[in-house]
Amino acid sequence: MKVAGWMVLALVLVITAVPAYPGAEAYPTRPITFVVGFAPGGGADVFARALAEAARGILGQPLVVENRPGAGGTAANAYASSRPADGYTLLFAHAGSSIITPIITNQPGLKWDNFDTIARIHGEEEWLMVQPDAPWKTMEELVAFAKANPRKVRVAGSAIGGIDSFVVLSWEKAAGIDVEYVPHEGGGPAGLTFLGKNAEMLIGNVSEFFQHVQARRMVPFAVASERRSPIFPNVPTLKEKGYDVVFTQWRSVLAPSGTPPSRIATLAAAFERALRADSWKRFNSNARAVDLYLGPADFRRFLTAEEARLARIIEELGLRSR
Amino acid sequence: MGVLDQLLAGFGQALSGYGLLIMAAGVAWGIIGGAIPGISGAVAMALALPYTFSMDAATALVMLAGVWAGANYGGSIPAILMRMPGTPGSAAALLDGYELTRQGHAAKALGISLVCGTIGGLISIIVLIALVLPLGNLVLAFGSPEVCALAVFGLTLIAGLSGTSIVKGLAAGAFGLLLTAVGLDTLTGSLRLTFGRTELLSGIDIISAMVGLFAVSEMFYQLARPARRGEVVAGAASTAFPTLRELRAVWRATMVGTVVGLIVGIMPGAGATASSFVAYNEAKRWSKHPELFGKGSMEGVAAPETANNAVQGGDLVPTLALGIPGSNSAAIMLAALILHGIIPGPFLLTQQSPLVFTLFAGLILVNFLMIPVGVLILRGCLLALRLPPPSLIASILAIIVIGTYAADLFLLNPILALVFGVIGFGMRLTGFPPAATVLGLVLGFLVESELRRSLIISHGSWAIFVTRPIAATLLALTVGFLLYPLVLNLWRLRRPPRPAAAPASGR
Amino acid sequence: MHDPFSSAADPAVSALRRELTAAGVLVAFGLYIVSVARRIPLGVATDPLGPRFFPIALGALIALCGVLLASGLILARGRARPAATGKGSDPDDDTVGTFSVSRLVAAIVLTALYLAAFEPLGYLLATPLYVLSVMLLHRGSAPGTLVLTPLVVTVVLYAVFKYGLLIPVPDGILEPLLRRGG
Repeated sequence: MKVAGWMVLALVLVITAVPAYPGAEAYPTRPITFVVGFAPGGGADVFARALAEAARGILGQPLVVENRPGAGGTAANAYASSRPADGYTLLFAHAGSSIITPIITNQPGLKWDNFDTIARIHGEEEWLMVQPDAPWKTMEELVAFAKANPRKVRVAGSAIGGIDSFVVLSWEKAAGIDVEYVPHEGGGPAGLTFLGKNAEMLIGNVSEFFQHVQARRMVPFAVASERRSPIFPNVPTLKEKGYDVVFTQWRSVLAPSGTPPSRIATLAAAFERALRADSWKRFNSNARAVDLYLGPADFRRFLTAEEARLARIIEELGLRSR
Repeated sequence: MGVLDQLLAGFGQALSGYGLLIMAAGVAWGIIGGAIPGISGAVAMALALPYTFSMDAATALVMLAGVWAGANYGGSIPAILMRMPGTPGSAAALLDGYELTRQGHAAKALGISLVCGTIGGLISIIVLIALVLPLGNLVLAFGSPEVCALAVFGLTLIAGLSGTSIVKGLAAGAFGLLLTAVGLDTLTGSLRLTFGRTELLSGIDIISAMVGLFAVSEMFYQLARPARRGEVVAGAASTAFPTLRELRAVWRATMVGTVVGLIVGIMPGAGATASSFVAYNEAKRWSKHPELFGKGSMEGVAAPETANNAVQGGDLVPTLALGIPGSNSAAIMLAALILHGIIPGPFLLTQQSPLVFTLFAGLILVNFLMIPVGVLILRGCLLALRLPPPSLIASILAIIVIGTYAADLFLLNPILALVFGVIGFGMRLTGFPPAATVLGLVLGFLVESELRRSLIISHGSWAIFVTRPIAATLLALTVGFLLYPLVLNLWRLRRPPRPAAAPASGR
Repeated sequence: MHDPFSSAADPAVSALRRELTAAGVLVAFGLYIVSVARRIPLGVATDPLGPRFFPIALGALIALCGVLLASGLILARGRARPAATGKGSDPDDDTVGTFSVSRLVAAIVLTALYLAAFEPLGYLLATPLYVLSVMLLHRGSAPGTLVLTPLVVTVVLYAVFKYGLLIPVPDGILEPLLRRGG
């Protein structure tokens, strides 16, 4: 369970008064169903609701969130793909539900390429944290220690198969080290293990733990982004330290395959504009997330590359069933 | 300014305007939501959240506090009346509560559950205020080994639920534990026991399985038994609420429940359901009439209900002290707090926000409001018992189907309720206790994943369960309580010259 | 329909047969779980026990319980038959008494049909039919109740879930109609 979401849910729902712009065509004329593969308030549900609120003012019709958390989130994919492709059903998608789980469980029909891409929206960065009394001051020292002491460094994170675990497992490979990954049911429980000094490191999003970073109970050590993050600009990226480990927890919108291109264009433009809405900006910065907007065509190219990359890791880890 | 002054100011804030009315509305909403199987406390709170936006911060917080407290309690109404747990936390109260209903004491059971739940909730909030702030970091003493040890401790209840055959209880409990292994394994990412059905990816929904084992099996039995009228609920259901004397009689169980609820509440991930079962077991152990448990013991209702509500305070400890909520309900509370400018976590005290104390005052007040609001709703629910049995049975089955469907909009959940209804019927036909399966279902996840996680943390060494004092104590208690009756029996066997009686009861 | 449980001539014999069946089911189920669990993919090895340990151990435990149960029954049979079953003697036990197998099967089938019709047919059509048929199965309802209960239950639950809890109850074949109305 990703708990940080709840904190911002409230904020988002409260700011709804954005005036409606007249649409370019007679679409949408009725509420749009926004299918979300998380329980109400669970996981990234709150991000979907935030997005729905921001887009409502631009589309002039509400996006009604429909939570279908069954089957590890893929029930939402199955349901969305069974709905008419008329632009009135949208699917909230992220790497887990649209790439990783369909691959692991051998359900190619539920993968992203069976949908039309609308837009990539935003993402949360992946941070490696250490204890304030950690003996290592630099990445080089840490890697040297981990090399000399295999499986001594414990890294708390969320479940195996999530982006957290991919960051750590890829970093292990790139650095030629062997750490002990401690998987949890979500970021919150992983944080408790770390704060209880039962792990030397923590991998996760910073939104849940910002307070603890300020209180110096957690020290950001590296970020798995392409560039340094504006949140902690002094913290290096794994990439600049020579490890090509770049992951973000991106979130996006898909639609059933065959949705009319004009409606896809309307939706993509609406989402792009929604990211400039004040309500979204406040929400996004509160959640310590970064905008990662990509239009339909760019997003499709991105997903093709992302799938190839994630599929390779899944194959290497032996996660695919049967 | 002292804590008491701040708290008094908090009461002023909470009671200003329509505070009391809104809290009462929140409690009522929570009780009703909690009573519907599938609508959890978190969902009831999430649904109430949008309505709080037009309110000022104090009112919004106390209303959510009301929904939370109400939902904790509400699940036990259908559990006691219809053998249908509305929330997982109310499943333990059903064991004796439904027996009492069958004996015509529905109102007494409901009254006990309401009063004791309220007492548990109140004490836990007071302890929270007194201790949380200074001892917030206490939470961090409970890691995976401690939670695992607690779950193992809770599993000893299988012996108490087994009735005549410990082997059957063991098999039923193992079945429950096994069910929690279904789905994607957190620790390795492997798919387990899904039998090629990807619908089972996220595992078996606990409330659907519970409602199936308990309620659906009972409704099927009511439908298939020879036509005797009105057994869903004994026809001559008395509407007499418990007397003061009866309440005094469950005092000890209430205290046991409070202590258990507080401790388990603080443990991350354990939660209301585990606490209610542990409290049931402990109350039985400390009771003067353990033989009545399972046969309509008032204490058997009081203890789990107290614990179930006493978890609320413990749940708020990590939420307020660390900003990491212990449950989904606490997570919504966290959202509301942050929205109103209170940032829980290490800086909670230094912020000096009066709103924190408004929340505390609200949590205390809603527990007082629980009694009048609860009695009003109970009176309405007791009317259901007057329905003709066919109408009641058909309505309960329809509520189960739509309730389990509604939570996830997932047809698998009502299907599970049906499947587990059939399994539960078969178990009861052959004398296997469905309650042991439910216990396994509740604790299985804690036992397995916390054990495996402990072994990662300890670099593979089992010594972690001995070297950590809290875990070691819990495990020592478990072994002690398991061996004690054995040793006692052996002692008795050696002395008198009549050993023949023992083997027959051993099975 | 033959009813092996409620109309057996000798309750002790039927109870013993029932117990032995249960023991057999336990052994078969436990061994099946063990065989399935042995093929669980290992995934990413993070913990020493791995994903197979618990399912295998629990499957084995269940099978062992079945063996214990059966051997206990057979041993007890040599001495005295009835005591071993431990059922029915205590009215407060969580067990079921006599019942009609055909009515049980009917209840299960009706519920299964209801679930099958829930999404395609829609809640509003499937529910009154189900409630009515369950009431007919139980017998003893007055004609007025037979008409009233299905309607009231359906409408009240629909209102509570659709408008109170804002949950999209499946519309089924009524979807075009309901959408235009809403």
